[in-house]
Amino acid sequence: MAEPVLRISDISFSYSARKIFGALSLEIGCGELCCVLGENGSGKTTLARIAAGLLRVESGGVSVRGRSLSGLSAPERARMVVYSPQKPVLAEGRTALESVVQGLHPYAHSFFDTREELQKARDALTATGCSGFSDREPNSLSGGEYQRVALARAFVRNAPLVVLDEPVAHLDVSHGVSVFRMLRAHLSDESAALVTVHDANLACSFADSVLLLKDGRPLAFGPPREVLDEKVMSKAFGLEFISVEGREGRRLFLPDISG
Amino acid sequence: MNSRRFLLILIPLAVFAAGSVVLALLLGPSDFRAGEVLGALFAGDARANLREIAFLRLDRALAALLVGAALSAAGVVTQSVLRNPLAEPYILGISGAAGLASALSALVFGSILALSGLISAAPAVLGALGAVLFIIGVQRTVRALGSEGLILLGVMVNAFCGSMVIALASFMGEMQLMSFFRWLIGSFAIVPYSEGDLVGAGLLVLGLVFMLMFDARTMNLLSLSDDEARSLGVNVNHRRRYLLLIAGMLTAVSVSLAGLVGFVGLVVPHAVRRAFGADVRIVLPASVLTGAGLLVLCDTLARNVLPGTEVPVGVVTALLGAPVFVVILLSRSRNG
Amino acid sequence: MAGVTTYCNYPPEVRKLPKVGSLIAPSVEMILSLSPDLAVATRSSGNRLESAVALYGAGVPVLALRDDSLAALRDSYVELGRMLEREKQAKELARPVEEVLKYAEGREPKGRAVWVVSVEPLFVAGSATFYEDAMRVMGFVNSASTEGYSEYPKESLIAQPPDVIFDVSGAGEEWWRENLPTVSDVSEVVVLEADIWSRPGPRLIERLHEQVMTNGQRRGGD
Repeated sequence: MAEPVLRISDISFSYSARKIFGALSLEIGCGELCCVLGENGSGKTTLARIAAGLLRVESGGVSVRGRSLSGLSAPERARMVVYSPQKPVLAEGRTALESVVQGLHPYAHSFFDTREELQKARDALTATGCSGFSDREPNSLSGGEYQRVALARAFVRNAPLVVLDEPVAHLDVSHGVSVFRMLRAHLSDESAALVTVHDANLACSFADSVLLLKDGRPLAFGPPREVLDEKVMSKAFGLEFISVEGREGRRLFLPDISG
Repeated sequence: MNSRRFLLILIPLAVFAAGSVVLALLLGPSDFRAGEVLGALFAGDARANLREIAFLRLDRALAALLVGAALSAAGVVTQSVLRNPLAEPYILGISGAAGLASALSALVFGSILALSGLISAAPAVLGALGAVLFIIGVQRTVRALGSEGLILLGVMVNAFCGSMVIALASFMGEMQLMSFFRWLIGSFAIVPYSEGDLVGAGLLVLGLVFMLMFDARTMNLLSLSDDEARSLGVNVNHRRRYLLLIAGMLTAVSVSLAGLVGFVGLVVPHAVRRAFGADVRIVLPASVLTGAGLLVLCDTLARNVLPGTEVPVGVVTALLGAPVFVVILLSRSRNG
Repeated sequence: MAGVTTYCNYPPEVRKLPKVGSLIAPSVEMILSLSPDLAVATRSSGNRLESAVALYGAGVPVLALRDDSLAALRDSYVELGRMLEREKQAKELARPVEEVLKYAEGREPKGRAVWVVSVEPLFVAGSATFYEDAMRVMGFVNSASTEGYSEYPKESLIAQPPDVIFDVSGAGEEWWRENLPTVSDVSEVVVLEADIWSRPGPRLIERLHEQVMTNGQRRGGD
């Protein structure tokens, strides 16, 4: 089997006294999309930041394409992993195109933006459906447009590992679905993605694997239709769920809320 | 940002800066014709007093050019690194701390002028670097402070340094006080550097700005969140410290030359961003040129506005800068 | 005499007296703690009315004297003498002032001059100052025209050097030769001892009297 794109082995991490992960392991293979699922405060963002090399683990290792993140310099790491936070910031006073060019920074070698860089940025904007407003500034963009420009900035440098923290948290369902479609279209045989999300149905529809977290502990890891059921879902979210059969045998979950 | 746009913006600004120096050479309180004074710069056989006046104006213009450039560059750096358009060496207390250190040394060594040339900048450099280290330390330990908190902290540093300076001033003689208060307000009436030292200081400022230009792209990324900047390959904490230290050096050079000239680092980058966008690659050099020219114009105004005397240039910049500060603050609160 | 300011150093005995602050910032509390019968203040030198009001309110009479011209100084001596019941001594002090004033009366000025109190920045005594009056009695018109003490553009000095530069700044002739050579070529730089010539007191009057009278006699003999 080919080398996985992301390998997290036996990591532990704690915030001050509170232990978040004890001996967590996970692998994401080429072309795969892994969704990290869990309620607020379950440790999704922390895991995303660890996978992006932004937080140091206390023990265990994180490697991308076989290279340990802790051994890489900041620019080297930036070429391996791209990270987009829950609330990405597009710089004020800069057009969408200029913001996306910034995503190429780890490869920048000249003072000015080169023609090549601009072309790559335009292609990324086109891929995320932003070509119509590439010269607009962030304060004139809608929430969905803003998120898609941020997505273009994340995609533009074609890093092997894409880590997105709650990319659809502030979007309605249809915009959320289109973000996942774009992500799937972006992934090649050489790359993989780790995406945190709190909507189980998006995970079930798009992910090759899910990691279900509760209080920093993994409840389940694997292909969604194999590892997710009503029982483990209600354990993770503290709510009753009923599962529904979707198309192509997908399992979808509906919270069964009693008044 | 491409080279064409870069030059299209910077060449006119360079002309503006050069033009301001010419204007400063032409205007003065004496009755000589403007052309005569200008000509005396180049004619070695011109009347001695004309030459003296010409060089007096030239030295001041060069000093103002340098200080304007240095303070504007420092303003661009502090604003992008601390992600706050109000962050400026004067407001952050960097100038104040440099002033306090200079006051201390003035007391110890008798006068600001007792130390001659570039060495007189040493206490200011130490003070400015002290303030920068303080800012960095606070930022590291109290992250929740935020950048608005940092501004308030600067206000407090200023208040503290100001009071210390007043306390020290009561130990000074009458004559020393007079020159000292002039310096506190910010003035080019005293240029403590010889022409050679001015050139040295100019090269230093030029070198520091050049070093900053290498980090222009990095500064662009620092205006995003820390995590984003880091994921783009920027060693955020390291770069932030390095850049603030350079801003501190630039502030120190200007404090040692002209005292506490405020608000230049606020007004100039603000105007430049409005005109040309927020890209540091253009904001930095454009601010340097604009600030240089603007301060020369302010000083020319300060020299000529009142008959028979002159006002300290710090008064002019504060009159210009304080309203701009208020406008930025209000527009920020409205948007935020 | 119960207390003095931090600047007071003459006669030497006063150095031992309690200090009650500086001219700009006198300590009302310190003054009151000495329970004086009278506080003497000048109306110039940036004294603040608030300090006088505070003292007056606490029951200390305040005598505010003018010292911004020779005539005002003479009147101040007389008034102080009356208050302290030392009218004879006061008259003694006022006499040289009177003589100098009388001597200068009606004489044509012989040139222009500036009174330099600080060189970096260049601060000079302007109109309505004691020193402008002192220059007048010595036969000079003040080149500076702004009121009080203010910054004087070096450039104006170079463009029109006065006949005499009275320098109490402590800079010395050397400074003028180095920094403003064309001025020191034209103007006569008279270096005056700051300790004496920067405060209008009896020592200054004595020197001024000497200066005016001897020069005058020399000129009278021409």
